[in-house]
Amino acid sequence: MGSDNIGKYLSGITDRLREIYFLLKNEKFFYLLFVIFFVIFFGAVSLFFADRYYLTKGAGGFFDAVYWAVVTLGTVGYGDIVPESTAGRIVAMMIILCGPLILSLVTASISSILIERKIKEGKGLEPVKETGHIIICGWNEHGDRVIDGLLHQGKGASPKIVLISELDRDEVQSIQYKYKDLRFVRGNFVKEDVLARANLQRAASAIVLADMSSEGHSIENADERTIFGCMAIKSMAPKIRLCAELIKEENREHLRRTNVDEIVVRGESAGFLLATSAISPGVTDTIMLLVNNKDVNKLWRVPVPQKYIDATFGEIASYLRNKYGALTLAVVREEEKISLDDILSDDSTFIDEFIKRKFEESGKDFFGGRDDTAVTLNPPDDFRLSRNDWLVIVSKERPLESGIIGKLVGGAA
Amino acid sequence: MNASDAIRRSFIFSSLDEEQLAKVLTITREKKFHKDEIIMQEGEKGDSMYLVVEGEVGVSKSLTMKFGDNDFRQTEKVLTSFKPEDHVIFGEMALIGQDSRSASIIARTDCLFLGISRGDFIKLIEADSNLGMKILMKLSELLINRLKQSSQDIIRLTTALSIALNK
Repeated sequence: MGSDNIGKYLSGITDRLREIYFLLKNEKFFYLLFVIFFVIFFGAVSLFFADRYYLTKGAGGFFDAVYWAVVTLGTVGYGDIVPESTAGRIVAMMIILCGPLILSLVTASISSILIERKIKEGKGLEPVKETGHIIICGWNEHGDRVIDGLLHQGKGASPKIVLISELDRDEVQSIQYKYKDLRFVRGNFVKEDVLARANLQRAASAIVLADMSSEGHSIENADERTIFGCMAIKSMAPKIRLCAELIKEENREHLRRTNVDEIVVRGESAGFLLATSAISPGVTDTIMLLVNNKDVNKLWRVPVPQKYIDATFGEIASYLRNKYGALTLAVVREEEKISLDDILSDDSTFIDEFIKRKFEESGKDFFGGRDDTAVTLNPPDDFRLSRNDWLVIVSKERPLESGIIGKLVGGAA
Repeated sequence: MNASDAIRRSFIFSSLDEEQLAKVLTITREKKFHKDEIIMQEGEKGDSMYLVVEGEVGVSKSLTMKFGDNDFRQTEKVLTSFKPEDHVIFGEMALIGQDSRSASIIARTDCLFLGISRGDFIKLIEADSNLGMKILMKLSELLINRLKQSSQDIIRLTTALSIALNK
């Protein structure tokens, strides 16, 4: 072991001791200790100077008096030293009465320390070790539906979900009762250490909900927290797929600047749904069925099968229809983002170095983020598919075949 | 490396025959610089071109303009160094017309240079038009390559600028 390690070890111990010290101090343990010493000392001195100490059976010097006080206070009472004088007996009675009181205080303070530690060590403060997981930041009344959606999207292989919120223990337990495998991290998702505890760097995607998990968070400042959270997330993990919920449309631009991949404004489709249901009955129900987690028909995102790359949309649509009874709705095209190396020349010149250095110095991530996605809804039959395309289909089952291997939770509809 | 080697290997004299090279050699002047001596200073006027025969030189060039007190030039500098094997020439633009130097050159070690002044150069190419044509062709080629390089640099810079501003 190097001296470095020893140093670390020692500083670990001192940290630990300091922690214990503050814990004890918090519980007024030292005050209690002082009272105990005082009672013992007071008892011993009183007995020692009590009238006719020589009458006390078995008593010798002052140490015997202290010994007697401790034995008596500890409710042990061996009886080897027994005060015979009235004054001595009065002192004994006082100590005997104090004994249980003080002992119960000591027990109480120690047990409260232990219980507090237990609560802290409980769920929500341990770092998450999962990888490829989905992180939900914040919680509100729609949180259940988000988790339902995530679990229903990938049949067979449920994604690992980690929830970061400031919910209290009871609420977390009731959520975890419903979703057994849900991992929980307690804390404010705006803070980097909390995000790190959820192993953000190795997560597949993150969803930021308009957070109302603590009493201090109102609906008015939910968007602010969402924006700060997205900034923190994107700065720690630029490549992560990030979706965020907004309350107010006016904040969309601010959130957009954090490089978030998808923004859903709460209630943005409510107006449309209401109007449609008034004019064309049934359309709203259709939409609701599609986005509902309960219906058998679901939206799936599937890759284009190998042999249909370069084929037309009409061909793939009829193929999926015949084989899986699936209805193809849209084509999602992922456009690759430019990277810094695309700009720079092969033989790196001083201008290249300058550009590279300047981008590095700025400390911002100009090239990060996922590839842009463009959705073409109901494309014409002669629409050509390419390698980077995905299809959004409606079907009862997720079509699984050798050509269609896909990430199960590539994109929640 | 000796002086005639340095001449023979350098790009702008590469198409000359032996006789012509000998003529060029007559107008060159050997010049010694001590370590850390400044050979040319960016922005200063100059009228001669240099070839490195011995020693190592450092080239520094500002990448940004000066704005009031905000002088980025001290920090935004490119620094490269050249050895005789690189066969680089400095100040060749001064042969065509008097202009300010576009970079600073500092001797990293004790150096031996060959210098050609504009006056001598003009006399030489006027006297031997075949020789002059060959050198000027090479000089134009050099400048064309440099221009191409600059256009590429501008395109890369504008691309980088639009990326930075679009965020």
